Amino acid sequence: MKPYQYTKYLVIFSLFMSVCSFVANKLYDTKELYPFYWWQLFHYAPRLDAPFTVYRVYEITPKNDTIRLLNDGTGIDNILYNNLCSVAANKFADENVSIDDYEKRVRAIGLGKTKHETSRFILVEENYPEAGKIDNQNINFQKKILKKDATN
Amino acid sequence: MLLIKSSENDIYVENYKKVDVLLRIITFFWISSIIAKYVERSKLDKLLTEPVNWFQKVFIAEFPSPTYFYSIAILGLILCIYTIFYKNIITRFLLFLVLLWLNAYQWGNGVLSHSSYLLFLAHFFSMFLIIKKDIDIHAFAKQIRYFQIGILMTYSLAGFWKFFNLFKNIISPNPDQSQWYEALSVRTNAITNLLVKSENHIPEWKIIIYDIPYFWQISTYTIFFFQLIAIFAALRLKWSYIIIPAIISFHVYNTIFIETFFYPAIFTLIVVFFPYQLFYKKQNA
Repeated sequence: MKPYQYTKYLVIFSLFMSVCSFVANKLYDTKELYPFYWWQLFHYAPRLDAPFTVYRVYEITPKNDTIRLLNDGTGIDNILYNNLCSVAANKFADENVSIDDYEKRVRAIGLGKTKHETSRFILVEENYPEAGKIDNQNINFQKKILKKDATN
Repeated sequence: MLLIKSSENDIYVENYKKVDVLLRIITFFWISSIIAKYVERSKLDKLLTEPVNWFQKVFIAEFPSPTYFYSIAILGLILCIYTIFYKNIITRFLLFLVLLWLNAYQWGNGVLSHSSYLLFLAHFFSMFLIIKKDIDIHAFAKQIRYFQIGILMTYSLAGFWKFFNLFKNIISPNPDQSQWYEALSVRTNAITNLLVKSENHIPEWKIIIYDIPYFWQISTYTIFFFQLIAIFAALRLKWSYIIIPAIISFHVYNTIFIETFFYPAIFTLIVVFFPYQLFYKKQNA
């Protein structure tokens, strides 16, 4: 058998391992074992009647002005900034993450965006009550500061 | 395989010669873009590095040092050029590992994305596909089709899950899930994506076009159908002329309207499935 004829087995291998990954994920709730086909993305549409949440870092300047750090690509590229905010929100919810670690992380994102060493930075959860009703006329959201304290 | 036209085998092999070179050229640019990202991210605090899967935990648990990163990135750039001229399985496999590493680095901040998956799938499935003088054209053309099936399988599985979910919901409706056939689904998907991926202000024309009745539901399921049948594009050239542009148009929509940038996927599809034969036929005539 010529080497190029192994291509077929690469495809079969990938498919087989992906099925294994899928089964392992369903049975044991593991996310590992992924040779390359894991493609259930977007098989559900977004929930229209559920709340929609965005996480953003806000800067509090020494003069006590609050500035929402826009996802405009300055300092950190758009995709990474959004990911970092989501990860920070997960750290907020995670009881195993200390207050100090969480605040350092939020500050690291803020400094990445602005380089303003003297400012403070907070993570804010922006809630839109119904995803299906968001449009340009109705862009208002409710803010909740994600501040980790001893009781959290 | 009755669906295959064996008269097209010569074209498959001729086209593959070009694919093999062009794939390495776009990979060269892809690696360059990762280097640019590294330069940008070096300015950030190292504690933001967050490995997700075992590969990242083993090889990139912390933000890679310049020596570590650049030796791998430059090895990748050299291998891209080297494997154009010297074709052997070991260097091709090495290049694939380098790409896997660079992609793992790229998504080493706690959230994985699939945006470069097609590019490294193309390298993975073409690993053994080396054209030598003694190859059997028909056997080789068959393996090229497996290479293409390997790449397109991700789309077919994506399509499969979408229809699976649709029929599951018809049989037992789930009130906790919205469906893609609901009038506001595509619009809401676009708006919420834009909210997180860029800025709050969404251009008015991008919202108005979603008011066209039924257009988006029909388009969505048409695209899902093309995703489902994607692997058939590997079997006959004529089918690829319809299916591949449909899939590319789906990525182009995502790029323009929901700022989901799958450039590596778009370029890989273009390079692998471009109908080169239509152009060199003209030259011969």
